[in-house]
Amino acid sequence: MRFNFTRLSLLKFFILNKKFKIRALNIINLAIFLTLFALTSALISLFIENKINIREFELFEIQRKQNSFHKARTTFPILHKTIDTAIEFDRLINRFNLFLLNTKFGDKIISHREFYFYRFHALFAPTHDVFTEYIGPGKVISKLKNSKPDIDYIEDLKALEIKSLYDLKEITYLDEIILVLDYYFAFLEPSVREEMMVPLIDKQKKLIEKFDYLNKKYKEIKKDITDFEQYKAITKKNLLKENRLNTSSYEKYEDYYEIAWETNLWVVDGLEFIERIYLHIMTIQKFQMENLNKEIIDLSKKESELIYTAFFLQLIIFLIIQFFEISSVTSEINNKKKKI
Amino acid sequence: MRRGKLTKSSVIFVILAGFFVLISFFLDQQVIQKEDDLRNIAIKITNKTEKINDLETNSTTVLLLEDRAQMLTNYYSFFSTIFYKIYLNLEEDVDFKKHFNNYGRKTFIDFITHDLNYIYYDLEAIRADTTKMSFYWHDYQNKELQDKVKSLFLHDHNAMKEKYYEKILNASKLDNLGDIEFSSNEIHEIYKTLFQLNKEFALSIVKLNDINNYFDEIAENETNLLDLFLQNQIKIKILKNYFILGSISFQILSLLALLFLFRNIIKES
Repeated sequence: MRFNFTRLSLLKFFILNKKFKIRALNIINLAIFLTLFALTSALISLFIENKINIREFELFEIQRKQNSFHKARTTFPILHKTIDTAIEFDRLINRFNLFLLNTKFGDKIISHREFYFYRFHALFAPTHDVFTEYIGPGKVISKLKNSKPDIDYIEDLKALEIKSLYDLKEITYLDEIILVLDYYFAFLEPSVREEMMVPLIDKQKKLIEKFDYLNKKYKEIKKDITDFEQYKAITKKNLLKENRLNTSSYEKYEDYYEIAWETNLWVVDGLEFIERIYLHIMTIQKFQMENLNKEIIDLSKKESELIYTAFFLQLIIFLIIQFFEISSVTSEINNKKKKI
Repeated sequence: MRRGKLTKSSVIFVILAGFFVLISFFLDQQVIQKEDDLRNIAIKITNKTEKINDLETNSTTVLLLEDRAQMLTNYYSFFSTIFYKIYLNLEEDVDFKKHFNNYGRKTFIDFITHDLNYIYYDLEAIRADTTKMSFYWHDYQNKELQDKVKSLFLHDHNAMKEKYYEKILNASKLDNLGDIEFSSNEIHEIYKTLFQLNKEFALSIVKLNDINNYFDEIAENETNLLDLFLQNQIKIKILKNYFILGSISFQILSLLALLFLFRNIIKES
C-alpha cells in the first residue's frame, strides 16, 4: 500500500483548492516569516558568538597565566624557609665561634678559616640557584630585563600620568612592571601618588642594580675558589700551626662571606619583590577577567536584544507585506468572480 | 492521475532546498568529527596534565631533598675541624689542657666519633628516603642522568664503618665511659673519613641540581605542549559551535526554499 501523504498530488489537492488558497498562503507566509526570523536569529547568534569566543579565548589565556602564578607562588614559602634556615644557622655558628674566641684559648682555635671559610660555603652554595639556574629570582629578573614592554600596560601607565618618572620611549618591561606594581596608587591624588611611588620605585630599582653587582661578584668568586674545597681535610701540622693571625690564605673569605651574606639577604628582598610582581599582575589580571566576564554577559544581553529587535522589525514588515498580498489576492478573486 | 509540472523557479527552489540540506548534512558530519577530535584532545590533556603534575612533584621533591642535603652538609662542615683541632691541642699542648677538666679530652673524642656515627646514619637515611621517591623510579631517557640518580648518597666506607661502629656504640654507653680508648691514629682516620663522607652530600647536591633542571626543562616543554592542546581544544570547540550554527542556518535555508516552493506552487495554480 502506498503512503499517500508522501504524494505531492495530495498536498496539491489541499493547497490548490480555491477554498484553502488564501489560508494556505497565509500559513506559508507565516512560516516564511518565522523561518526568516530563525535565520536572522542564527546569524545574530553567529556574529555575537564570534565576539564572545574571542573574549572567552582571552579569558582562558589569563586564567592559564593565573594558574601558573598560583603554582609559582607555592614555592615561595619553601625558598624563604631555605634562606631562613641558612641565616639562622649561620648566626648560631657565629655566636659559637665568638664564644670560643673570647675564651683564653680562643686564639688557638678560631681562625679565619673557622670564622669565615665554612660559613661562606654554607651561604654561597644555595645562591648558585639565584644566578645560574633554570629558575629563581635572578632568572626572573634577567628575563624581565630582556623582555619588550607590553603595549596594554603602557596604555595603563599613560593613564597614570606620572611623566616625571619615566620616558615611554625608553621604558623597559622591567620598568613597566615596577610601575605596574603600584597600579593601585592610581586611585590616589597625583601629588600623593608621586610622593609615595618615587621612593618605592627607587627602592626597587636599587634592588635590580644590586642584583647586577652581586651577579658580577658571584662570577668573580666562582673563578677564585675550587669545587669542593671545603671537603679537604686539613693536615695535623697545619691545624696545630693555625691560629687567629696565621691564616692569611683564608683572609679573602671574609670578603667572600660578606658577599654571600648580602646575596642571601638580597634573595629575601628579591623574593618579596617577585611576590609583589606576581600579586599585582594577578590583581590586574583579575580586573581583566572581571571586565571580560562583564563583556561576555553584556554581549549575551545584546544578542537577546538584537533578536527581539529583529523579531519586531520583521513582524512589522511581515504584516505590511501580508496586508498587500491579501489585498491583491482578494481583489484578484473578486475580479474572477465578476467575470464568471 | 496527471502529475503537475514544476515551473523554472520551483525547480530552482527544489535545487536550493536540496543543496542547503546537503550542506547542513556536511556541517553535521563536521560537528561529529569535531566531537571526536574534542574527545581525543581531552584524553591528551588529561594525560599531559597528569604527566606535568608528576614532573612538577618530582622537581619539588628534588628541590627539597637538595635543601635537606645542604643543611646536613653545612652542619658537618661547620664542625669538621674545630673538634679535632681542640682534641689535637689537648693532646699536644699542656697549657691548653689547663683550660679543661678531666672529661674535656673524652668529650671531644665523643664529638668526633659520634659524628661519624651520625653521618653514616644521615647518609643511609637520606639514601633510603631517596630510593622511595618517585623521581628515583622515573624512566630517564638520558643514561648519564639515570646513573646520577642511582648513585645519589651512595658511599663506600663499609670497612671503616664495621671497624668503628661497635666501638663507637660501646663508647657511648655510660658504664664504659672512659674505658674504651681511641688511639690518636684512629681519631685522625675518623676525622679524614668525616670529610670524605660529608663530600657525598655535596656530590649528590650537584647531581640533584642536574636532576632538578632536567625535570624543570621537561615540565616546561610539556606545559607548552599542554598549552597548545588547550588552545586547540578551545579552537575546536569554537569551530564546533560554528558548524552547529552553520548547520542550523542551512537547515533553515532549506526549509525556507521549500516554503518558497510551496508558495510558488500555490500562486501559480
